[in-house]
Amino acid sequence: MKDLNIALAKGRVANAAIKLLIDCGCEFDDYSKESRKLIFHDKKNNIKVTLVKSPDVPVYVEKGAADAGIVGKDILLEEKADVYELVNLNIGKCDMCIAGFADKIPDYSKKITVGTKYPNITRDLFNKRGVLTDIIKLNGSVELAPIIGLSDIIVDIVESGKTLEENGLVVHEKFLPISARLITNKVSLKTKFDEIQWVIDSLESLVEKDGI
Amino acid sequence: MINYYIDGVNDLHFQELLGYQRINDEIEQVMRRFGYKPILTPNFEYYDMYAMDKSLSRDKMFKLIDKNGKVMVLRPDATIPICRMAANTFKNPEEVLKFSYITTIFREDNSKTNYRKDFIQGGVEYFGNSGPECDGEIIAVAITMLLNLGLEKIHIDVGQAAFLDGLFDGIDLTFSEKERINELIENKNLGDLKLYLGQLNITDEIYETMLKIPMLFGSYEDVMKKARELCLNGSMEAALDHVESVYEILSIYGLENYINLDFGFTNQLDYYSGLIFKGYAENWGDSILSGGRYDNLSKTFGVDRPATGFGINISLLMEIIGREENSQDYFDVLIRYENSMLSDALSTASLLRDLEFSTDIIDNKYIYSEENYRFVLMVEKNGIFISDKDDKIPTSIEKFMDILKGDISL
Repeated sequence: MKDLNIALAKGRVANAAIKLLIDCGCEFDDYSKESRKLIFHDKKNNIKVTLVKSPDVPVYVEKGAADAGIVGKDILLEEKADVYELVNLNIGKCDMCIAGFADKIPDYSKKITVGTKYPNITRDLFNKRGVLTDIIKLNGSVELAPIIGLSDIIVDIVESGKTLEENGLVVHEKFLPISARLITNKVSLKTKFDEIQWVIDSLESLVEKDGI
Repeated sequence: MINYYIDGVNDLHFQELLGYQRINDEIEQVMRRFGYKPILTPNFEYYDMYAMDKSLSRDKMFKLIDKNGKVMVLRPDATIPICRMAANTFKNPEEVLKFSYITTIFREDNSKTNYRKDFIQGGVEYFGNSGPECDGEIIAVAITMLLNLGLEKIHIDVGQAAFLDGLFDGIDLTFSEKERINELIENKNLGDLKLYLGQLNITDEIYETMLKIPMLFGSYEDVMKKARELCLNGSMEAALDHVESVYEILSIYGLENYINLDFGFTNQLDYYSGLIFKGYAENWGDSILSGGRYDNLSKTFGVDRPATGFGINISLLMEIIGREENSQDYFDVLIRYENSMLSDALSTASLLRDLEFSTDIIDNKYIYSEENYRFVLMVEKNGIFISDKDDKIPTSIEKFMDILKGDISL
């Protein structure tokens, strides 16, 4: 088989994805969750896995630096890369939510301030609803924004809701289910079709079996 | 100091420009060999003309305002203005026209990985012929260009917009539903396609068929066979018949081995109506050329005339195969003179130029690059010399001429 280069979004998605790949029969001798290595080889199947920051996965794949990638739908919607989005892996599931204080549902007929890591998704959502917004792009700890009065609400992914709860916030609305996707470079899908097809088939059979 | 450099545009230096010229020459030669007449449309046109094609996003166009307040845009696409030009000038829809162009395309690209705001595109447009021999010729031109440029591992993916349109025939879907399906198929987004189709009121047969289209790509024989089995009506069959005839034409050219199929190509530029194709090479992660049939575009300019064509991204080619051209011998002679010898030096230069040798001349007190000359001739008080690395070889005008002409060697 030809070498296949897969980029994984570091963190939650990568851990779940590597587990999936191992279940498919890949062997990564040097992998452990704690390891700081960024590149792992599966010599048996000629697969190279690269761990990168999640917004970089679509960039790697679009540019062909990786043939395929596994990354959350949230990133794909936010970054809008020119790639094929082949399989919904149903791992790393969570929801894109509007959240804020339980007793402070904002008046959507007036302009509201939104704190988020996802300015594009937020803009699309409120444009569709005809709501005027000021969007504040944050890079983390978005929950702080309403607490310190930076924004009325936040738009963020919510998995268990625990972080929100601990900071005194609640989900106002879940508006978009998110899960990890297998994406491929548009040319690699053709030039390395057999290799990618093997990954797709293996992953799909797992996804269907578990019925997650 | 202020940095006046704009992101996404580029200065072209001497050697790079020579690289472009080499690529342009190859491309122009192929266009000419196949009988396409070079033309050029203005750099800007009215915004309204481009606005009718929904696929060219208004955010991606560079806009200008003329003194009457009308909005114009810098050419974001070459096909639409050539189609307009053909319709303005040649009113008879029966007349066949073949045009070629090499021009700059301006697009504000917001993609994270593509910083080019302008790029050079070459292309051909073939009007007035709806036969498979016309599509075949266009694809043959495309392949010949890639081959002549010395590219390896090239292939053309051929799709057929009419195949999916045929499947839509007789199903009651709104325009935006079709658009969404097109988009999901184009991105081969199988997961979301499944979900989306599940919500629509369509038969199981159509559901199953649509789900297969994104992965309907690969070698010609395989995919054609699978596609035949998926046909649900006459228009889908007819769409495949056309692809088959084009493939036969390409076999006569002897180019059929470069052809793959991908029925997952949909109508991304709104104007495509039939056969569409993209060209790839060297495992490069993006298509180098793309084109297809746009039979309905000319109608919007008042002349109902079928058409097909393609464009090849020359700036991208330059990235892939561009190398700095050897420019060492670009000019023939540089004359460096001692200040007092100005008149001798000037007359020598005139003499050489009359004999059509490119000749540059400069006082030797200046700092000046001597890189791009075949010979550096030094005109000094005590005679004339050819500079050869650190040596000075004495010579005479007559002898130097013979050396220049190649009659005798240095």
